Amino acid sequence: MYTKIDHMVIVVYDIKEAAKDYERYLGIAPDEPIAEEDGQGYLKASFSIGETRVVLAQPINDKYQAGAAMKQTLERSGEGLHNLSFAVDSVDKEIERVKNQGDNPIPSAHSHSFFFHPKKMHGVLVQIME
Amino acid sequence: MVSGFDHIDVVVKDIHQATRDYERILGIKPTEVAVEQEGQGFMQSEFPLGDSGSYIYIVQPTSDKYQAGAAMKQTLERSGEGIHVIALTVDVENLMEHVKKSGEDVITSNHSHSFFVHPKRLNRVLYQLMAPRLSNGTIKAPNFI
Repeated sequence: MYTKIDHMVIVVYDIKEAAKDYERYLGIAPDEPIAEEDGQGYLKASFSIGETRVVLAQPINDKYQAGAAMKQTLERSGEGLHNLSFAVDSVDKEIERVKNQGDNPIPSAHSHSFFFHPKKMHGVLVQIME
Repeated sequence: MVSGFDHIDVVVKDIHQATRDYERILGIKPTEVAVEQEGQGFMQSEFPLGDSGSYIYIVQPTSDKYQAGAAMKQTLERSGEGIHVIALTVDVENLMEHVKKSGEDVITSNHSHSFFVHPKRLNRVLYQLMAPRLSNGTIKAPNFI
């Protein structure tokens, strides 16, 4: 059961500049100061918008799954949307459902969640989380 | 000024195939499938997300004579399938004034009470800033002069 979009990640070259632009054009400020996500290889600025969050991310270390994937997005297509994260009631049930129908979920190294490849989702990297 | 998230548009080449893929892979149900949006130049499938009041729209441009269809076609040609727009609900007048004061042009919508900030300004993401929906769920019509 899908409940909402939990967050959207937008990958950027310069997170300080990007956060300033969000404040300038959208009139919103990050919930917390820009900080590194421990053990994930990127800098993050998160903006709460209603029930969802827009997360700006700048990869800094491709030793980690998240930082490496973000770096790949930047190199392939430049700045822009990196992934959409949907909240579901139960990640385990969703994994079972998608495996049963023959689709391969990509496990997350950092959280109880999984991904669908953008090739399957018409150009969108989708994360499923609780 | 920004109060909520309303929808995202995923622009695709074949809306019937994409709608089936989203339904099958994500296990979510569309409430509309490939409905032509009159006078806007695109077809749309609608997936509501729980009771969050937000939506995923799968869209396929059908005519570039219209603002929306032309913009979607441009996204497809430039970057292929993927996210076309992120739509946030805002106090439209106040935010538009704020953006204009920062010296930027805003792109007004022909179809809803909303405006767009050019993706050049916001890390190649096209944002639509729209008025909250009316109580019956419909999107408020444009009233820009």
